[in-house]
Amino acid sequence: MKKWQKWTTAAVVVLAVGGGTHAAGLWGSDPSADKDTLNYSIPAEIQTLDTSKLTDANSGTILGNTEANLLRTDNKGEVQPNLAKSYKVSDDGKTYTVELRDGLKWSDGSKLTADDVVYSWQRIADPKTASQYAELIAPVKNAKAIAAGEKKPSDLGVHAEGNTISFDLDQASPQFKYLLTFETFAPQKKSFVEKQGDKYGTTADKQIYSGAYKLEGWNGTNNKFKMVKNENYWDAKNVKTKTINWQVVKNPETAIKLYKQGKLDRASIANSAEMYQANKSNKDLKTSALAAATYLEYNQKNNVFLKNEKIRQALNLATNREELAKQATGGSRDAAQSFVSKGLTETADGKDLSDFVKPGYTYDKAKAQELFKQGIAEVGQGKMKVTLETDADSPIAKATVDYIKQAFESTFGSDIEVTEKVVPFKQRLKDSQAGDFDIVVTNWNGDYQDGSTYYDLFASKDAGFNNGHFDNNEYYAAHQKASTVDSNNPSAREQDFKDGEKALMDHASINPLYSWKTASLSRSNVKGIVENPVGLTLDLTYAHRK
Amino acid sequence: MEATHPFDLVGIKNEAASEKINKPTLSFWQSVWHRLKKNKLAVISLYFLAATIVFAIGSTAVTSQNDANQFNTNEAARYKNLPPKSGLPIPFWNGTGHVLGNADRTDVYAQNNVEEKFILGTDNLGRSLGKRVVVGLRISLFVALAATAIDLIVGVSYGLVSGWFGGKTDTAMQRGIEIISAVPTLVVVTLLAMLFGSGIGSIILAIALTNWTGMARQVRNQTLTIKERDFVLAAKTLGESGPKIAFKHLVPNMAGTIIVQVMMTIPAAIMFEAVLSAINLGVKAPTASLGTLIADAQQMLEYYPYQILIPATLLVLVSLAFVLLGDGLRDAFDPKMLDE
Amino acid sequence: MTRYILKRTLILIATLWIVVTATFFLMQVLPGTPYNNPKLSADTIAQLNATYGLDKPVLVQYWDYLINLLHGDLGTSFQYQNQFVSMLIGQRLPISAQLGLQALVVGVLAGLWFGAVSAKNQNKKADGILGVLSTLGISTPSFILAIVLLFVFGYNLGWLPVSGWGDSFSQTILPTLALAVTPAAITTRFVRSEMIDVLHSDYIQLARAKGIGEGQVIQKHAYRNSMIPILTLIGPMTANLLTGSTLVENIFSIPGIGQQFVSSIPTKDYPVIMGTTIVYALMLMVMILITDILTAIVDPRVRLD
Repeated sequence: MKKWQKWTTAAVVVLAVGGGTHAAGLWGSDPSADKDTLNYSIPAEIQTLDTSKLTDANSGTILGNTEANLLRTDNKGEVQPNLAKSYKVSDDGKTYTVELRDGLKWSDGSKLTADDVVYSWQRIADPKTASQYAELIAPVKNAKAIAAGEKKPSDLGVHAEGNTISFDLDQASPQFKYLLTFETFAPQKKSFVEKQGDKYGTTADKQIYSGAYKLEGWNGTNNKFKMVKNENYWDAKNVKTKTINWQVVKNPETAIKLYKQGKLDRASIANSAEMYQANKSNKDLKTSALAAATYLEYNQKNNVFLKNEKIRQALNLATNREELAKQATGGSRDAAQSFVSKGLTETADGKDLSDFVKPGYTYDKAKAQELFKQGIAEVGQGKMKVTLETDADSPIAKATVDYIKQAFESTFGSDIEVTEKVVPFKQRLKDSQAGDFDIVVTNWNGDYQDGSTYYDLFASKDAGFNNGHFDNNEYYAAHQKASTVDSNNPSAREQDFKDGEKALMDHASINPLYSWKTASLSRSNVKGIVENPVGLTLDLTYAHRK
Repeated sequence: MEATHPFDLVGIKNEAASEKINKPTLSFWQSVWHRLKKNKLAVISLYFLAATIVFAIGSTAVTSQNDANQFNTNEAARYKNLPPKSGLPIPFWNGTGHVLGNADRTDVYAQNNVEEKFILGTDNLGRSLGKRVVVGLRISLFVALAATAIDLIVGVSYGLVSGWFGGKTDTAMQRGIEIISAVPTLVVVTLLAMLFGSGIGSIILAIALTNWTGMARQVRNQTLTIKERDFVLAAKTLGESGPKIAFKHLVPNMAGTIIVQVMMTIPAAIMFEAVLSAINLGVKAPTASLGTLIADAQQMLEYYPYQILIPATLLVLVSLAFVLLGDGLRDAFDPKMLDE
Repeated sequence: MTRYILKRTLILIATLWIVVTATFFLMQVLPGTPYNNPKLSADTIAQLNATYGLDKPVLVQYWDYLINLLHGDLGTSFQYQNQFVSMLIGQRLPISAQLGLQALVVGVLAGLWFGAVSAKNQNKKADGILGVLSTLGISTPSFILAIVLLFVFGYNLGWLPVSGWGDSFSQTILPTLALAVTPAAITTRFVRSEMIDVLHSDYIQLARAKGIGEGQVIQKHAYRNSMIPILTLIGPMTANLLTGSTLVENIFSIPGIGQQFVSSIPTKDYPVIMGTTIVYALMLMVMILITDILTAIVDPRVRLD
């Protein structure tokens, strides 16, 4: 037994000494001072490096910093050339012509050509690829027919001629230029993709890179990898950082700890209200707009109560959005003033789109109670019993439904009974699509910096994302006008958006709750980061430590 | 001279007295209780659990499930995250705490102008943590007891049938148990919870469906031993039916084993409820159970540690009491411990 | 012996087949869609289903799955594009195994020591304290312990790393400790009662009577004889560790299979859920089989069959 004792004592000593010296910082220098290296984290594993099959934000962050597209957005939200030297839009807005820079190379040194761009678009269009983003390219000529299997991928309206690529669209589409900045549509090299076959994009070695960095050390499951400067990137001389270390940190509190220990250069603080409150006065706080909105959808197809406009209006009036944003999110999100999120884009006159279109949502308890009484009487089925569904993605999501349930029940008393239904994300998705809900909390992330990324959701009563199947002809008319007659006339289009927002509010078709923003602690000596509200939310191309 | 006895006869003078038993005769249960009483920890646990259960049931009248979910939507800012306040000058229990982003402890109640006292503080929406913990305790206990009750019925019947019939039936039934135990309980519980959806009923079912195997094994082993005993053979010869023998002779004779097993199952069920909540498969929000309280407060640990420490401590205490009582009962049922 | 092992292996395979079948059909009835993009149209979903073979009849899918399984192919993940489940699990398994093994070794060693101390000081103070501590150990779920350890030693004291795996040994300390407590507590309680039995047994009394020193009695006789039954604990303790590790891996951002299992639940990644279930079952059954065989080798009194 003495032996056991000795071993155990030895182990305890080793642990204590190891822990002690580690705490004393004897195991290496301060990583937040190294000028060649940056340290970042993502909250979940990389899922894929296959450009066309990308679906999640974390893989997007990695690919967006390692694969370059024709264009990129700068820190003012303006579109700038990247792999492209220049681009032109025809007067009718139906043809985009892009000229590539000379001498572009992949990270393996091989030539990057216009054919690589065309191949990438064809690969996404090809139903065999089963890209979940195939929808986004619908405006391109023949894209729908290819998806339906009626035409070949090579018939897609994207063509290369020498160094020039032309995109033919079915109709003018002001948002199309943003697609040319997305990592999903970055060029792919046909011979490489075909050589890797099934394994394409499954590890860092099974992908080649056109961006400022190349990924190294990701084996498909590990939680630590790095980006190394890509000497073959066209603008490599302006890329100052040699290495970016990445790690997967699942626990958001842990990320903040690592930030404070100098081991990370950025940590999000928007996971819970308390986390935001505790860190919002930190001098390193950095906030930026994020094109995401949270709103309630009312099932107006199956639920008799929610079909009643007065009841919906009452529910909207009983929603104190300012308090909700303050209490349930701790101020980490802003109260919604419109369906479209804040900071998405600017109008032609330089106003924030949300400020321009806001129809004037208010909180009015007395009016809500009056309308609700009338509504209940009109329906004539007694007490309104509804479920309120959400997915359990963060403490904020849970606090939100707790808050809304209580708000409705305390406003309308015994006339209403709200049951919460917290389900995994995918089940919420399925329930939404199947119309298997009464009221559902929907989060929508915009795809590009244009109002249509929101307004297209509700193209008609039975359109794909109109889960509540609301009946609002004023809205549909405004939307139709914006996407057809006014599609090439920015100011008329903005007015259509404004009319649409008003129609949404007047008939209480949905209930906007809050507008998202990113809030993080960000090392002040790191310069040159670009945070976009859509697409690549963290662009480190020119990031460097001063 | 009369011969005198050289020795005095000592000992029992009266013949009848030699037959007398000095110790009071105790029934089986009396002697178990007698032995249990000597184990202080077990007795404390027993009283603690009895008090907890009485309190949990009794509180139904005072604090309803709905009551614990209430808060003022327009005043949440004032009431949320208030630290525990006992009303007495006890450090860390006097209503002082950190305001986020501020290192000093301040009297949060005074600062927020709150008159009421929340003995266990409030949560992130301003709901009384005391009320939520009371309801949470009730729900967790209910889940655990209900799951255990199902275990008891299924496990005992399965074990009895398996042991009584023996032979091929026994082998087949034991294989069944082996299959179920081959998959880690968490996986089975998770899959079942996913299948049934969230809700108290499905959690109970999910936990019960995996936990009964231990009981079944024990009962089967006991059945195999006891069924060879004379009194069972006698009953058989007298033509008593199987079920009658099972419930009249077998079950009472293995009561000890069964009770001890139950004491082991309950804390396991309480802990499983917590684990399920931690992976978002717990009871429906906003209903509280100890598990969901812990899971939801996990993110608060850094800022308001009391919100997780209170339900976690309670959960550990209740499990601990069940285990200690189980230990005590096992010793008390063990005839080897007689007269120690 | 060979016959016994062969028979047990056959039973193991049959059990595994039943587990596979049960999980497969359970997956079919679970609610939800396997795709995580809210922006999919019905057409695209149909295409995706065709790509993954989800449009075929269930029985055909089942048969395909069994055939692939025989080739060691657990299918392709829905969540991790193009990634083979067998690869995902294969790369994560060694990490979980290391963590589990470390916890088991630390736990059992500590348990042996505490148990012996307890038994030697039966009914004294040390025994009482260890008794309460070990009971506390089995009453505390390891994830709660993990949270507390992370908070105290990682966040507040800053002594140990708070996340990750594979950079330094110090990263493994907190998760190992969190997981080791339960096995330590179980072993302590078990060793204590076994040793008390042994110390009261006739041959120990005889050894003592022969004048052998107390240290030797314990070392030579008591320990050896109370060790064997501990082997039987390994199986249940492994099962316990598997449960604990899922949440503990998540808390410390350790890329093991536990973390993968937890994250595949909300994302409905059926191939991964099934693959993990099968691997878990296999691990547990093999562990139990090994302990049974070991017990038989160490203790000649145990008869096989």
